[in-house]
Amino acid sequence: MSRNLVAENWRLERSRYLLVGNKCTECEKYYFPNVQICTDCNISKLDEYVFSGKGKLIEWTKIYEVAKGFELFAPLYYGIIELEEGVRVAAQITEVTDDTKLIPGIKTQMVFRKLFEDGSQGVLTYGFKAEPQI
Amino acid sequence: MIAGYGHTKFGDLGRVTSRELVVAATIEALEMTNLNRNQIDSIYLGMLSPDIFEHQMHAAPGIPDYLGLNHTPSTRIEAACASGGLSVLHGIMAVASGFHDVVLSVGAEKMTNLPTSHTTEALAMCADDIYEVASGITFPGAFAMMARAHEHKYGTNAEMRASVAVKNHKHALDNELAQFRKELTIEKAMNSLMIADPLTLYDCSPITDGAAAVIIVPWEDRADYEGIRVKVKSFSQASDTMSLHDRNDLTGFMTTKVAARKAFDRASLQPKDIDFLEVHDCFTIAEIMAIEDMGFFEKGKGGQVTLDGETARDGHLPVNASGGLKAKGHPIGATGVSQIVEVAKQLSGNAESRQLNDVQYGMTQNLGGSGSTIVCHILERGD
Ligand SMILES: [Zn+2]
Repeated sequence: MSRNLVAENWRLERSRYLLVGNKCTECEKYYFPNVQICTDCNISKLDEYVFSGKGKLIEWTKIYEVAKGFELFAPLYYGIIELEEGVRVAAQITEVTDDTKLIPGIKTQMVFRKLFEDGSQGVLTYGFKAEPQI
Repeated sequence: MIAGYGHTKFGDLGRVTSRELVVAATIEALEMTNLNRNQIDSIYLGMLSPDIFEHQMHAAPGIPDYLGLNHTPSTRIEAACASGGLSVLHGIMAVASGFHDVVLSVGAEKMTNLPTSHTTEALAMCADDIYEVASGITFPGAFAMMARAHEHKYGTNAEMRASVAVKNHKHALDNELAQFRKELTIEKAMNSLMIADPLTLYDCSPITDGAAAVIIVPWEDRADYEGIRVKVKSFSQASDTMSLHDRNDLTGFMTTKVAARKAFDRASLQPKDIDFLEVHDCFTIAEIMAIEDMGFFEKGKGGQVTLDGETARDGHLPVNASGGLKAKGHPIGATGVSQIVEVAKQLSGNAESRQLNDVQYGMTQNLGGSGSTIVCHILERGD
């Protein structure tokens, strides 16, 4: 299926490139991606928040049969990360030299990397990946 | 109640369209009853993606069209891999509301037209596109993380997962409509191609063409209908976050727990009352989590009880006697309807060489996405 990646990357610039979410002004709960209402307080007053990118590994896998566009990275490490603010994100894990050290709980840092390619002539999509801090 | 069912062969069916499969399953279902097709009041079509697989949107009116039933209302229901179960649920609600008397719920998918990479991409679109798919997730990848989490917490290992595949392949030997009818060994399953660590090829369900149909009519009017009498005891549905990472627990699905609980409550039944299950084993770990989350086994014991044979056809709670998605095949939109057909066959004594003895209640669990939609049904033998 065709995707309009130019438009998509422009639309998602703040979340996909800059890790911008938001924070409830009442209960201080963090959200990523940003939400329109705080589901805990049912209020719509939230402030923009830039996540630090510091987090820890929750779980991971090594994907051998990668999705279209990700052939460059195959096989790729993929994981669920809990940021220090308490929200969870999913991302490729980069700079893995020894996967026996990928133990749930280790510290990670979100970094800006190329995410996938839309063919050899297509748009390159960038975004965040998680780098283990071992 | 279910008055009739139809079910095509599952597999790579070659030169056939999904609507031809739907018509074949529907005619078979009608032939079990004394109904002719003009008596169908409404049609619910479970289908994931006629647009991607067959370049056809607006597939629903194509069904009455090809059945020679112009003007009969027809609605397509899409809920990822739970599309079929949800089409049955809506058919039941239409009859239960009293608005319709005869409803056709039918599910189908023609998946083998496309190269595997395109099919995988189409299926991945059932995950969150922006925050999962664009970062490189695949469904085997998502279930692989759940398998790892389950292994870390409960010790569910590769041999236990493989035992799900081995059991379901064995069950499919007695299902002539199944895609794979070949015995599988634990060793072969464990040593097959790695797809997403720790899941291998035999932990994953296949790409399949097929259709399944049921005719739903009011239980109160059962005297008016010929065919089988399988009573719908209850149905339920639950939703959860699109993205797997937005949930705290990776070792199961809250949706399965919630939907199963609702189904039991509405039926005034408990897990111990259920005689057999058809659950959504899109991956081996999914069956292990399902039988735990539905309340049939203690959390964390699903792998061990499968390895011990408790869920085999001759065990105390047979699970996926049909062969499951794993060996019967997984034509997305047809799967949830096929589960209902299997339960109806067992409860009406029509399951031939895989017939379970003395069964009164059967239950289904149909899963969409990474558990973002769950649909459950409990059916009862009606005499
Ligand atoms: Zn709040």
